[in-house]
Amino acid sequence: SPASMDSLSSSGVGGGGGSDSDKRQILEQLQQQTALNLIQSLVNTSTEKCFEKCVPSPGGELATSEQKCVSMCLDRYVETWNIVSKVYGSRIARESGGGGGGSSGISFQ
Amino acid sequence: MSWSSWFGGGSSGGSDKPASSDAYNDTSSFQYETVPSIGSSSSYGSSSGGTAEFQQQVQQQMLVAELQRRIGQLSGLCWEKCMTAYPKYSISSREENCVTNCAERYLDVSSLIAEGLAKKFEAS
Repeated sequence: SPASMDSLSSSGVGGGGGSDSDKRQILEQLQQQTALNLIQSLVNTSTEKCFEKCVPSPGGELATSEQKCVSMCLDRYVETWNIVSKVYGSRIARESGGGGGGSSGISFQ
Repeated sequence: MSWSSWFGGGSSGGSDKPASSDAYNDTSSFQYETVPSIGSSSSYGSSSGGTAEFQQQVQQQMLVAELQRRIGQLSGLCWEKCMTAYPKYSISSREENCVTNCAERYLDVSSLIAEGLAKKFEAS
């Protein structure tokens, strides 16, 4: 479930419209929350997948081979994420009526 | 926010990278790409219009969040279907095709389901 937005500060935006800086602050907080959610989801999913793949029989500690496996697994998972993200981007670009090709557009810095 | 600072420019410590890997083409660094219709994160700094524009920006951000959620979900699904081998130094082209097809076909199914359900709601 998406992280709650309780962390957003309450500024006087509900009434006649808050100041520009209030709006900017809220948008920035929204962005930060989105970023945090993304990272959390990546951590959770890759941990689960890589645990399944790399540690079939949990022992008293992680073997070096298992550690190496986890490291490579993480790379492969991020690559998978990138591929899926590209497919989504292209699909949305196509369906929004853009005549463009497969580029998924903007990359965040 | 700099994504590369979270994930680094390449594989995390411990794995030996093949000598031929090119750091700039490192596909395992996190390339966060998003949809063309959504502006870059710096666009919120410009002077605002009225409440309507603000609401639209908020909505856009919610859309981005939802999109990320779906990408994450689909990545997990396609991982299960396609990345069945023991993790290697790089993703094979077979695996890459599999993941691409997996995502594309999933979205096709998603469209079909949406259409199908829409019809059912119309009928009732």
